[in-house]
Amino acid sequence: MSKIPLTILNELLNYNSKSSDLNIDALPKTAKESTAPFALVRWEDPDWYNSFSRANTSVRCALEIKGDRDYDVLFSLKDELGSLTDLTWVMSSSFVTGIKPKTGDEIVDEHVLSYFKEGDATHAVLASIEDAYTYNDDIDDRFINSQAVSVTLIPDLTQERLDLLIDSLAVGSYRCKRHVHNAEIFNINIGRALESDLYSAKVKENLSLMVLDEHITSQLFDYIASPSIIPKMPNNVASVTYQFSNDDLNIMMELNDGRPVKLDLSSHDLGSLAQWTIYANKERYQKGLSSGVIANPILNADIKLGKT
Amino acid sequence: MSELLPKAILKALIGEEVSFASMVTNVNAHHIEPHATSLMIQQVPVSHASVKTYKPMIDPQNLSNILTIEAKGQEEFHFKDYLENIADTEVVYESINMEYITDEHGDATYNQFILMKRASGDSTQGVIVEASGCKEMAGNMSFFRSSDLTFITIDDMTKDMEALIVSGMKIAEIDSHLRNGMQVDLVDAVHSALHSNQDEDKHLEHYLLNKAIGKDLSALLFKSLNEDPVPPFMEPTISHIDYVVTEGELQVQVYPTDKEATQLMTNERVDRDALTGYVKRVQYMTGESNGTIRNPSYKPGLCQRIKAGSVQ
Repeated sequence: MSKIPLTILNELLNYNSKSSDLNIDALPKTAKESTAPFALVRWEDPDWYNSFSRANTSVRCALEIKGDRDYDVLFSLKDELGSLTDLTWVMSSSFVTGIKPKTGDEIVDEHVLSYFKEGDATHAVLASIEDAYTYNDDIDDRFINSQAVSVTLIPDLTQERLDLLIDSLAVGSYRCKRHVHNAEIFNINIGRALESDLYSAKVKENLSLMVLDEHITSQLFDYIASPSIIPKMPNNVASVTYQFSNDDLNIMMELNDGRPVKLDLSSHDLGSLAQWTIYANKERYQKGLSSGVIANPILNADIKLGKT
Repeated sequence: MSELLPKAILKALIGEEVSFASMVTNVNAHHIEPHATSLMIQQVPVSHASVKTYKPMIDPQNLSNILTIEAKGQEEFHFKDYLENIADTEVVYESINMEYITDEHGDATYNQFILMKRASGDSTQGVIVEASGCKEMAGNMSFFRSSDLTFITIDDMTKDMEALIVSGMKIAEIDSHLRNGMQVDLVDAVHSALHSNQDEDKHLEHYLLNKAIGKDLSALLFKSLNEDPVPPFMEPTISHIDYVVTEGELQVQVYPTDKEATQLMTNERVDRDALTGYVKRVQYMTGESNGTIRNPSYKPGLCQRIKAGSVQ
């Protein structure tokens, strides 16, 4: 195991921990918390997620602050880690986990994502402090002990995986807000996030799903359980074929004269693309079908009627 | 003869017999989807053959002059009011579709659709009267010509077909507004439409949910259903909750470690919206309507610190 987690823990705790002081926990194997920083990673890349290891120390000592004493008990996790030259900072993220009853202060889990190189490989680390109270992005540490501090070692980083980590932290932080803030404030936050350039399409999809679920929960499961409705086909379309290759979906229309036409984002009829995508996903979910051919029912009806 | 009803309506409106030769039929006149008849054709494909479109090919006449509007001096009138007075016919449903935005102020042109029916012997003929060029969503018209009318007839319209047409009209109306970008917040629009819908309409719900979920979310949604349901957020001092659904009502018992077990009435300690979603999902997946949910965020250490007074 890399020495970086131990170095980070010692830096944060101002304590000369030894490897024998470390507890190395496996991360949760079940999706028990959608609000966890790695919920999206676990979903999208479970094998990689299972290779993460989380280190904390069993030394129960108060977290000694080395920051600016003018701010008394407040310090910045990012600043603390800034002195470790091996680390390249990627992002900081606050996960709101509750509200302090009398003062209304937010209780947060504070996370800082960084990466480092070791030989030819690049690894990431997530340094976390749980159950802190925040003040202008600084942390009131009064009730933090060493068990509230953890460092997750994330091996074999690639650019794609780094993007997934960043997305996962963003999605997790909004899921926390969803739990803590009321619906009105949450929807305003989501609205801003959806308009922002800061987030990837994957994050925005997840955020939309959170809003959707909140608004139409009661109808959603009736809809999911109901049979798929074949989307309307124009009269010049003889059939539609769909095929999944892993998660990629290919949709082809066959015209009456036998010509194939691909239905994709360059198509004129994006409404049909949406309807057929939903249809195919629902068929796959309900019946396990990964492909299908649907003949135009109207044309078939015409044939049955002997219509000219 | 499917053109009889359109001719009767036209005669009532303009006082003239319109010959069959002066009507043109075009089954494929509507290429904007969804149309009022789309859902019926989709669900009952054989009905495709019974749908015909008629367009009067007569000199444009200003109906508002011909009808000698009772409220003289007013520039606008409700077209439907006149249709309701036509003998032996019944107005079933009306809808307004937005056609296009006409100027930079957002003024739009609307098409009004009115489904009428006339019983004859054992069968019923339906006709959708489409009036184009309405200037307001209420269907008011200022200068209205006979050439603005289109008739879509449906022979042997059964009760089921009638219901599908009404659903199709609702869908086409909402879709026309969405198509023109009038509802930026689609989820909000869907939410409003679903909850303001007096009569349950499964087809409308299906359309709205399809629209709200969209192409990009659908894969995620169905994929997420293969995951374990995620317990709702509970305060870290709550160890678990018990729930039971009785006659559609969700009752929840909360077990905090710092107080007596209590019935959950508000969102104060548990996210009740998320809990409702969780319970519905478990019901959908397993059929179970009661259970216990352990709090994955339960922190006994925090409870001890609260008890010890180190956390206020």
